[in-house]
Amino acid sequence: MNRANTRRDFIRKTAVAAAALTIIPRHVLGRGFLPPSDRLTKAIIGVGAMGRNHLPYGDTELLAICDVDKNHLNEVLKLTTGEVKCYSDYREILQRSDIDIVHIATPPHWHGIMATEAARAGKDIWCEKPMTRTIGEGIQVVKAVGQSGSIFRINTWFRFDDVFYGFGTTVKPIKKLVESRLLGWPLQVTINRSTGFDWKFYWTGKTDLTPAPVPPELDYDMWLGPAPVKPYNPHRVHETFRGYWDYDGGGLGDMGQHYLDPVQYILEKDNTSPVRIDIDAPQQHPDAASTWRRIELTYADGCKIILDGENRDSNAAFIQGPLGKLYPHFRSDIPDLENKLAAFPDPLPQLTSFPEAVTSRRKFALNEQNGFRSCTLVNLAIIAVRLGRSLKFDPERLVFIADEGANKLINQPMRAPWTI
Amino acid sequence: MLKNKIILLVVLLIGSFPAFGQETGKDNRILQAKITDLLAHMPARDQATLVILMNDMAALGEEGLVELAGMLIPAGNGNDAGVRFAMGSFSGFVMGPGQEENRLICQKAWCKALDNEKDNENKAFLITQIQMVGNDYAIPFLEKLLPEERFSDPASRALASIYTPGGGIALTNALDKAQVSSQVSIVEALGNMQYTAAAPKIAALASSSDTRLRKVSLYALGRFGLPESGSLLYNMALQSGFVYEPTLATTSYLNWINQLDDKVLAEKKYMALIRNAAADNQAQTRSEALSMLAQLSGNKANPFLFAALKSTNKQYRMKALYLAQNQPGDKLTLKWVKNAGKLEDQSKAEVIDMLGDRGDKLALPFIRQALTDQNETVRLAAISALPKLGKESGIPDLLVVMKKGNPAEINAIKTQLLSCNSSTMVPSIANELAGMPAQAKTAILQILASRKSKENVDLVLKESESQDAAVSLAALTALPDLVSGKDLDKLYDLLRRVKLPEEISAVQSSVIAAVSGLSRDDQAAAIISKLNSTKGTDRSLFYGILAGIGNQACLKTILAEFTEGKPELKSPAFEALTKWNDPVAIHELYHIGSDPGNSGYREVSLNAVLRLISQSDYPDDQRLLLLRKISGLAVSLSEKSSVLKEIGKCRTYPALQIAANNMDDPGLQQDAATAVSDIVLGNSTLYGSDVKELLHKAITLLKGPESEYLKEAIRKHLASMPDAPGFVPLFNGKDLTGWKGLVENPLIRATMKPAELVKAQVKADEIMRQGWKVEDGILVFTGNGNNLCTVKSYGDFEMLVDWKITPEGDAGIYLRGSPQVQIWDTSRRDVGAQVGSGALYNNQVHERIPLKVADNQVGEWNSFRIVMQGERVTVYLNGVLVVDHTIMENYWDRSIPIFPVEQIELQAHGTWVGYRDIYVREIPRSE
Repeated sequence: MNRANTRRDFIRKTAVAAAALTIIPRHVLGRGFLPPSDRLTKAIIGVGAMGRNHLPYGDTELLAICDVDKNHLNEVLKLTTGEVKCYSDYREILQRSDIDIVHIATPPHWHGIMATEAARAGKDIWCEKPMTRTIGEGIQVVKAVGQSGSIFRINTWFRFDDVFYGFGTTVKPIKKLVESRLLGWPLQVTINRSTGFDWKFYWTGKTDLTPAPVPPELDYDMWLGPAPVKPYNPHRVHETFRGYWDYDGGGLGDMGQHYLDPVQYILEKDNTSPVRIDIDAPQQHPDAASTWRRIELTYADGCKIILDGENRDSNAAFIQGPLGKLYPHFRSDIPDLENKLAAFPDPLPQLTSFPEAVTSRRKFALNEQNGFRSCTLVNLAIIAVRLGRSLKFDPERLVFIADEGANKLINQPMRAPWTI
Repeated sequence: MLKNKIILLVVLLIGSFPAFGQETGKDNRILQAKITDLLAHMPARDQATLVILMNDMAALGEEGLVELAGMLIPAGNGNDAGVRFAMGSFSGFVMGPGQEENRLICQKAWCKALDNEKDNENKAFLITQIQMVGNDYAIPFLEKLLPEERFSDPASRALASIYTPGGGIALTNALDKAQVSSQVSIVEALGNMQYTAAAPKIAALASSSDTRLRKVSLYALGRFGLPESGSLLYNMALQSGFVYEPTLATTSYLNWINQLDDKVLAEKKYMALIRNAAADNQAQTRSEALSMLAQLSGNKANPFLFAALKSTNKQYRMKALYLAQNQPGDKLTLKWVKNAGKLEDQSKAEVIDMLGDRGDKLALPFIRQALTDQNETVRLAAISALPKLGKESGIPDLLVVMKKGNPAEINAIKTQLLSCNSSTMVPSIANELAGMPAQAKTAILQILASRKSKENVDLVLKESESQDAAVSLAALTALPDLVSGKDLDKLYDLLRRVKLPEEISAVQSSVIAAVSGLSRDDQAAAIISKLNSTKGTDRSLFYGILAGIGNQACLKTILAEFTEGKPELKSPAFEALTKWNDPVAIHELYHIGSDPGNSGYREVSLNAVLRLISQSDYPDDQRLLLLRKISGLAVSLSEKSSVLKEIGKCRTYPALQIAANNMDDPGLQQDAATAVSDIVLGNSTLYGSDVKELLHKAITLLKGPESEYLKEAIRKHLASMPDAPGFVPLFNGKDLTGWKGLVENPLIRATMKPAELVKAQVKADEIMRQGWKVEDGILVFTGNGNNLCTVKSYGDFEMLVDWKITPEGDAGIYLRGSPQVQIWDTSRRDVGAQVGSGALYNNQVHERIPLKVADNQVGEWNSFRIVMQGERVTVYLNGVLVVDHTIMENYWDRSIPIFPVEQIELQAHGTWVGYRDIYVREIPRSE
């Protein structure tokens, strides 16, 4: 997660206490009044580097933390107040009836299993990004969460909150501009350093890992979970798992969904996926993730998202349409844009308070359905990069066209007894 | 001794069969060479290269591929990355379109290699490759590994992925003899494949004491959907209490129902489950069953949906409503409406939400009625539902509610109106404005501002006179979005009438908006004129407007107010200066803030200049100059830290040096290390051993949980950094080491005898020491003497140098011993200096005028970045391009090109000039 956002995020989330967050209809209680007995409760599964950021999220009461590394549990326990129980097995947490929300902050290869089981256990879910490591798991999460009626969100928020990285404004005016059709249609979005988005390329795995003894505090078998058994090495776990395809997807897994989810929302593509993926990348290792230079995602209607990792298109507009362009800080080649845009309606309001979504049982602004689609953008890119070739995709059937190798990467069988 | 003889004998024997030994040996060597060559090219840089390499791999044939796969090394024993790159990519390649033949060869090769391979982890790797490329051919190879504990998981997964009946048979056969942990893998694979023939065996295992085995058995049976598994699965789910538990019995049961071919049976099972899982803690299971029933049978689920409304479990209730939303049919909408009328408030509100999302206009009358329900939650639900059904017709209703509404309702209506896509919205609310109560008025004013509804400005002006303070403030706050030039006089009146700071500020913003149609000069003139005709403390009313317009004229005016105005105007004038929105104010802010007599102004000035610098779009070079200038304002550690952070955004070599100098200060270490990293990682032209050292130092200093990521990035950057030397300082800040005096010119020097030259150099150095001094770390020309010359000569290079002149000043940088990159005071129009500094002044044929005037004020520092390659020179002045790849003529002999290698000189031209931060980076010439 972007370093600069961590503190801002912390402050913002604790400030959410303003609205009454109870099972009692919120308007019966006055503003700010929160009877302790009705406060929502949570547990955090995975309290490594990311997980501990979740401690204040949602202003809910923390009852439990879970981790396969005892050191993590000990360290994080010190940061908590009140009665917090430690677990090594997330399933025990899911069986507790007094826990309303589970936060999933494990590496991505566990997200799908934990999210579906949490849904089956009737829990609401706050899941780290990327939503799932594979498209197949994403499909199962959508199904399970949909069937159970759980309230689900991913830990990204730029589509409804915060300045959108280096672009310099929130997403709302961008969404409004696109909806107004002042830029025309279809649109091309370029995500690179010049438009305000840095791609982090240091998440590369090592190709020469030597087996090492598993440290006593770590349950490596449980850490691996559904991932294939490979000899332990510290670089595979904790702060550097991002570099390995078995658990995540390199830099795309890190910033991909943060950048792509708002773009998907802006382009009105929450219910579909691209039909074509093109890449420019070096050859990839079967185990260790590496860098890429350029990825292009093209939709059926001609809209296009360009991930320009090298900042080759340093003069590109953030959004380019047949009628106009939009540059960072809302500069445009359309004269008098601010006044023209004011005449148009605002984008439809979204439900952006997670506790409110939980108590009202209405879908959160960023949920399992649109989150699945933005995660799929990430996963499509990862598959194309790993195979080193262009791919065509069917957004309805969710399969690649005429490419068995790519389809093999959609549903990857899990290590037993883990199922989804 | 004997051993050697035996060896010799053996060698001779082998050697005596030249034909055989040599033939296979030769083939083998060729193959080895091919493979080695292939691996040496990996990883391929791009897609095109990869395809070539993959075709080369295919050309190795099965034998070659087996050989390659045999080169896998056990982990920890060496580096076989190339082999894995090759194998992984080839597996992916042969699974692409049109590669069926290669797939066959590949598969055979990997299977053979699997048989040959001894190391367990390498075997596991081979299995993953077979998983990708295999079909029925691979089954026997995988089958025999199923009983082995290390391989039952990967082999099972591979067979599942291969997904043929043969695989199913192999897995099923292996079940009987396998250990429990292997059985777990096998059963899950069978479940994934939906290989129903295995059902009887798996059913027997479903009662295992091993929870893993139980879990996967139930999972598999659930996936199979065979009617005969029903009672087993149901009983297990029942035993689990129809709640979540680690064997996922209930989930498996639900999956089973979902998989049934007999949909009538499935319906029955769902309905039974909904009835049986009636307890509150079983609401989850009920929800899922209800959901699946609705998906399967559409309207047959309706009775259950209606029944769910009465549930005390909100989750279940809402689940039912969410499903109801998408159940089609007018009749259903009407039924919901009828039902909703009888419900408790909370439930009624929930149904209204659903009806809104459902989008059926038939619900409109009911929703409209709900707008005036006695319960607030219901009213609020109706407010958000109405626009989803009514589009335009919703507006009058909402406005009626708005008139009587409480704050929550007004706010909800405002949100709806803002996202309303109707051209009648603005006229409707404008019409109602006057008759609305205070809070509703405020909301409408905000909407009018948001829509920049200029046609209603008079209505809003009227509301600015309201007795209600909140309404008048809302009106004033809205004005900037509504006013235009014609409203100016009214605004001036308002300016004098309003009292509170926030009111004044709003009117000031309105004035700025009202004049924005004029040119900036005219804007300034209008306001300054108004200011001058205002007496006393009322003058300060115009200061904020000057700050908003922000040009040089406004700046001059505010300074006059600050220095010459009444004492009580000093503070407001300064405050306006700190809110200036144009970087033109930076120097003055610094000037005021650094005045020891103005100690109260220092901190605020610092924050203001940092804001202006940060928000400006000045190039990095210029921003660094400004930051260096104002850094004296920073006193406390946190202030210095702020300055350092801004310096870190300037990705230049001089900025790097400054950041580096702070790495030894314990209070600033983190910021300095971060700045150093940001600068180097952000500018790929920064390299060299000193840069590497700085990065290494930064790694040791960086702390904190997120620092690992940055350190990793630095290490990667170091690994790919060119080995070439980077910038080298020409001036050590202390003395004239590295410099010498000027002897004649390059042509004459070339004709002088060595002894002559030495003698002349001694004399020249004497003169140099008279004319050139070092004062406070700055290299200064006092005004008497000759050019200062580098001891070394340079061919192609990049040079950085800061310079400063005094009024009427004149200087220059000589490249290759020849004039020059011009430096002069742009006010000297008599000599044509208004064109600016930086150009090749002595050119006659090629360009000699800068592309832009980029000089800073005389007396301020400037930065040159000069690149010379061959005959061509590029110059950036303060980050602005002023000379673009222009040929530099040879002043000394215009018939020949500029000398290929010569000294660099700092020109002495009779006036004072100062230099600092002089660096040069030699650019090797390609032969």
